[in-house]
Amino acid sequence: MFQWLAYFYCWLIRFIIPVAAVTVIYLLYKILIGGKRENPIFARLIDQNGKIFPITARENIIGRGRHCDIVVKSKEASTNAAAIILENDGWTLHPVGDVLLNEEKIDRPQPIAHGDTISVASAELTLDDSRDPYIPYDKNDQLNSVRAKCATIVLTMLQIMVVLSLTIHYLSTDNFPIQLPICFGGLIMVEWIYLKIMKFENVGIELCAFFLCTFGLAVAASAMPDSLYKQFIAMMLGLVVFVLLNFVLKNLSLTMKLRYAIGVIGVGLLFFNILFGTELNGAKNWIDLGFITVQPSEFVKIAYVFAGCASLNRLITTRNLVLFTCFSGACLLPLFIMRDFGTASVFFIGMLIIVFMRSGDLKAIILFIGAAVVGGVAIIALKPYVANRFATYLHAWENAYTSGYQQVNTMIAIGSGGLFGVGGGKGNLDLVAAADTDLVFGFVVEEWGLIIGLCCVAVLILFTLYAIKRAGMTRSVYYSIAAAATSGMFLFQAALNIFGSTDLLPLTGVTLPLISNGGSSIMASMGMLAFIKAAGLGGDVE
Amino acid sequence: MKQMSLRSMFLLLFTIAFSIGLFALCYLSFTNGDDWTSFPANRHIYKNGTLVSAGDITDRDGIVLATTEEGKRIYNPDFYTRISTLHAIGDFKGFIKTGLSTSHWDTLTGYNRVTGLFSAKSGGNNIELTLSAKVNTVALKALGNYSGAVGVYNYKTGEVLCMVSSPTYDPTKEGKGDKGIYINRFLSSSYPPGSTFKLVTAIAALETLDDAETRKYVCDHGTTVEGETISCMSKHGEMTLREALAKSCNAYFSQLAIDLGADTLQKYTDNLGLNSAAEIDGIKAKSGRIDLSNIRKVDLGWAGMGQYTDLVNPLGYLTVMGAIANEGKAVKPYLIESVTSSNGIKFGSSSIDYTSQLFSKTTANKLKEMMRYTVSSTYGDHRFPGLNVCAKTGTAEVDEGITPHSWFVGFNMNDDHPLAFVVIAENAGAGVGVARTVANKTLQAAKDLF
Repeated sequence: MFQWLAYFYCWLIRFIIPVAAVTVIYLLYKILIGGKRENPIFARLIDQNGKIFPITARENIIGRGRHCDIVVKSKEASTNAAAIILENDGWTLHPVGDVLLNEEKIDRPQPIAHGDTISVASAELTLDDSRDPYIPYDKNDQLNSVRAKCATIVLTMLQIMVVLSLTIHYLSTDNFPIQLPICFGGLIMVEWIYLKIMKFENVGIELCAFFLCTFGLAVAASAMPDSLYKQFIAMMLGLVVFVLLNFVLKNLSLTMKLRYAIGVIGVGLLFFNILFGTELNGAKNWIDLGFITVQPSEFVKIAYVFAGCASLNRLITTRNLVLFTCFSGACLLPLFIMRDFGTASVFFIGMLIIVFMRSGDLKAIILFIGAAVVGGVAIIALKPYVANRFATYLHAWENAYTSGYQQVNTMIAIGSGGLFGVGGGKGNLDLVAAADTDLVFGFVVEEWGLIIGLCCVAVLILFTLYAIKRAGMTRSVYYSIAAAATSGMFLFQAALNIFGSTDLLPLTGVTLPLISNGGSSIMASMGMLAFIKAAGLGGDVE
Repeated sequence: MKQMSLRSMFLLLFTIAFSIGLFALCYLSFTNGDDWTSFPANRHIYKNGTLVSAGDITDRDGIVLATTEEGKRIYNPDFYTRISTLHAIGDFKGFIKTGLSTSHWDTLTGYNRVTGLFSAKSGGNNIELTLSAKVNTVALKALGNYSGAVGVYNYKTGEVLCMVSSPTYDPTKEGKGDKGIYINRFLSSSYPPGSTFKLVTAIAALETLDDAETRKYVCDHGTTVEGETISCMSKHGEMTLREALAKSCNAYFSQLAIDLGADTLQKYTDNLGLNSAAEIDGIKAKSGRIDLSNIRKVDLGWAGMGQYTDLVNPLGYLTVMGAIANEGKAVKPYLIESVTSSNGIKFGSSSIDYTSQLFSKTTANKLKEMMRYTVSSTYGDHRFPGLNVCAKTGTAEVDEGITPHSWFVGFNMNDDHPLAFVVIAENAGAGVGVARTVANKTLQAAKDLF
């Protein structure tokens, strides 16, 4: 009787779990991407003809260029004439091109006040700093917290179904891991406590994280139940890093002050890794702390974004990217020495995004990509064994039992899972090395189906769409750049992981953010999410 | 800030590129998912490269030919049942490509693209065949030590009652790797048809020549074409189509083929499907090959009686026999009677499927009568007790110094036992010998099924 019920349950929930997951993704899409949330008007600039230019951001550029926030239509005006920035103590005018403040030429940032006139070519713009009444809770926000509540309820149901599915599997093997209900129970509890504290307001990113963590735990529970505690603790520590980082990021001036220190710590950590690292699975990117091994490069990703992004006043005053390029080089070099090419390429993509977001310079991007190609060719020419790593690429099936074993088994797993999966714990991919990390997409698809696999990837796509949507509305360009870099790095990492394990790209061995088993990866990825969340910070008063 | 909005389009390009990759992966998993899943390294359904998680295969009487017990795939315990049905059900390691265990692994395991291998865990699906293990055993025993193939089907319903290929082997023992044991000769071979091809020439003549039945040719121990001799076993003298078929006169058919012309004969062989790969339950058979392009006259004469470079596939030939028996329109042969899920739900049942009208009803009935006459006048009805056989023998020359292949093809003209058959015994000599005996034994066994 129990067996029959169990079979029926497994048969039934295979179809319910994807429905629940798609529902959660839809709600998250509505919360993060849907709806138009416009920033309030902080101030206005009024020209001599009475035309009003509303200022809806904290960092604004005045100039002739079409990209400017306040466009002065005059041939004499500079492309970027000046930046007008709201800092803690009020508005500041940063001269970039030809600009006069109250008819006087300025060469340094000057605080400006109500009634001051900024002259750019023939336009005379007078500042009116009376801000619109702040509406803390608009209709869309209200709707979003209802959506968040619904999403949480559906997600919890989904989590319970996942646990039951795994439980049924383990009961049939007489080897039930007690960690399973404890960790999932813990996740559900922490999730509700956190969301309650946040009053379900602006929690889209966190919900995304909890969604991914659910399948991260499901993978760990199936592949290596003994690692569940570790995984769960890493998630919780990651949440702590997320909250702390969020707290720091809210304070832009503190963030700016910490940038250099964090950058140095990051680079230092990588060099420390080279000196004292241990080799695991072909790359020397681990540090053995005796009781636990950590992967510093995962944490350096946070430091890299944190230190690599810049706010507007820095962007327009120091336009060159020399320092940033050196910093990127200092991060990439140790990764190459450690032969962690997967992570190195993730950093490289982060670098490209940051460079483009900072400079808008396509030529620089082409230059960097060119340099990377030359560098890659040089490495292969100097050290031919590096190329051997990629020899299997596009030939996985011909080497099905040797070098293509992992890719072939991933594809077998994807085929076997179909759209709805064979059920929690019932997959066979766990018998292949790195199944729960490098091959985790196949793992998820085999046990939970392609629909769930795509839902997990959809979350990562939501991150980039969110970063794009918020890019023009953040409190500072720093947040726009950081969110773009983070979500782009996540997506690229997902591409390497998913397409690498299915032989559409070379297999490099990077993790799928928040799903792959691995404490460092989970913790760092949770932390990284703070950058995406910070893009949600509007221009509102603190 | 507007600048950031513009520049973030870079990220959008990125997202689009990623989505395209994702789409490609989904597309691949949809189109190649079955190949991925059926790879022998898949532990869901294979164990050491042997298919284990699959449903039962039973014959028409419910005799279990293959099943899984305690994670092991096993065959029927009876030796002859095992080896005579082996090529139909296939081995579990996939050596016999046309065997159902390989070609229909998805049906057996319950795989499909939507639900993956979920139902493989509960035993997959059972396949009930139209084959009779009993008839197969008789056919294989009758073939004895000869290599070859026997196929018998009900030309009214399409059920294949017997499909045997020899040499075969005992799958429960480690195979000795004898030459060709993994080939199902009924599906994956093509042979020179020898005199059985005279039926095809006759079809072309009856279809295109108004005087086909009255037209006469002279046989003088053969005939001479452009200075070369096409020999015949005896001096038949002047004769009609009916007599020539009964006596299997080479001279008659070579002259007839030359008068028909290469184009006409080619057209009819193509129409009959002899130049394309036949299919049975989605399993592709080997295509025959009759290529009469740029042919010399004398070779056309040889081709018209089944020599030259002519090759036919037994399954394709069986369908032609079905068409003659069934007024020019054959019922397509099939092997799978039904598919039943492990919890007893029947979801795949066969239905009668016809070929197009391959030739006219008149032609079919005239030829049927001539084949009947051939048996009654030449081979003797006493050799087929209880049957009303219409048939043609064939003795297909292979190489000089090698005994020719022995053919016997035709059908039983009787509505109670509508059986069409093809028998080929390699290097067994005259068709009237071994192949005829095998055909009779098999038909007698098949008759008992009704």
